Amino acid sequence: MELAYILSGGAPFMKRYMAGTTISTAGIPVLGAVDAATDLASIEPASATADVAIGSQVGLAIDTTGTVAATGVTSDADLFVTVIINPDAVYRAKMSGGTAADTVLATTSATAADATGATVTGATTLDNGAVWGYTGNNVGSFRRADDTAGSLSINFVNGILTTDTYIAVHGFPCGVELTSVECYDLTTDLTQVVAQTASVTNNNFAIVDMELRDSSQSGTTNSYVHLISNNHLFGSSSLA
Amino acid sequence: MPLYLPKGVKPSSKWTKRPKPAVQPVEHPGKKPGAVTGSWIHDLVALRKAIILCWRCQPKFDHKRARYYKDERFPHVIGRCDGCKEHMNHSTKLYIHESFLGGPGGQTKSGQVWTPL
Repeated sequence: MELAYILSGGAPFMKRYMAGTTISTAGIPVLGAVDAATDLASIEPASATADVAIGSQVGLAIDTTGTVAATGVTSDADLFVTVIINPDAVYRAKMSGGTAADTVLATTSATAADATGATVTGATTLDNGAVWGYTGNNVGSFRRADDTAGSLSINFVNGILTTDTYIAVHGFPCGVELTSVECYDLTTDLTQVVAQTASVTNNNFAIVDMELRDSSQSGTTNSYVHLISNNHLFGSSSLA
Repeated sequence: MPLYLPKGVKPSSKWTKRPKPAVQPVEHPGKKPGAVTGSWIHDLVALRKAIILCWRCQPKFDHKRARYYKDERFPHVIGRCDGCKEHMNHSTKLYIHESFLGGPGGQTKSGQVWTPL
């Protein structure tokens, strides 16, 4: 995960915070440390799947710490990690096809052609998720899937052939369910998003934009989503 | 028009010294008073920490020799200079250790945040 841009157009604001637990991977979202029993200082890595506490997201860690423990620490500087703390920072996260980082995204195809371009019959799609052409007739186009598998909210301009391949993922730019904000689980190392599993149990991020790439750009391993924090610790006080 | 007075002269009993800014308790204080700046930067390099330098301190840091990349994607970052400890919101650059950079072709690997510059 990396910083994509700042919504307000400003510059990334860096703070060096003392980590409450060991942070061994750079490029992960961090939270304010909420539990004094297990978190020894300011921040901790975000959870991969759980909903964060309201107003607890702090930003994106861009380096790592040494071992953080209650005793035995020998380097003062190694306790600290640099964090981008802008509440309106948008992060660019790679879409992974599984809980392990860099899992290739699965493609899907129609079992029957549809000249109207409205249904990818037999394809695996996710409710309110994005579907885009990977090879074939609809390369370069994307649509939002609806509740029924394979059914699109708006038809593709070109007809759907059985020889086409599509990629379907969870989430859509500005996509909001009636009862929750569509969000992603993170991979186990917290650097990417689990894109092909529906997650409605956490509202940690909102989707600002997506980079949906086709086969000419290796889209199964090279597609990204732009996320913004929904529960930023400094959001209510830093934005007018 | 500022009023210049000899040091130690107080115009009236109602004048007080301007208070020093409050210490920020959670942010790392940086190099300790009296420590050599270069030594502190070398400590950060050894730990592969991200380094922020203002425009005055940038020429003194040989980032290529230290195996750091200058992040050029943003004109500047906002933060406190690791050299002179001055907080600046302009003319400040971020340096990232090369181990946190992506591989050839711009593909980021797991745990690596920045694509090659």
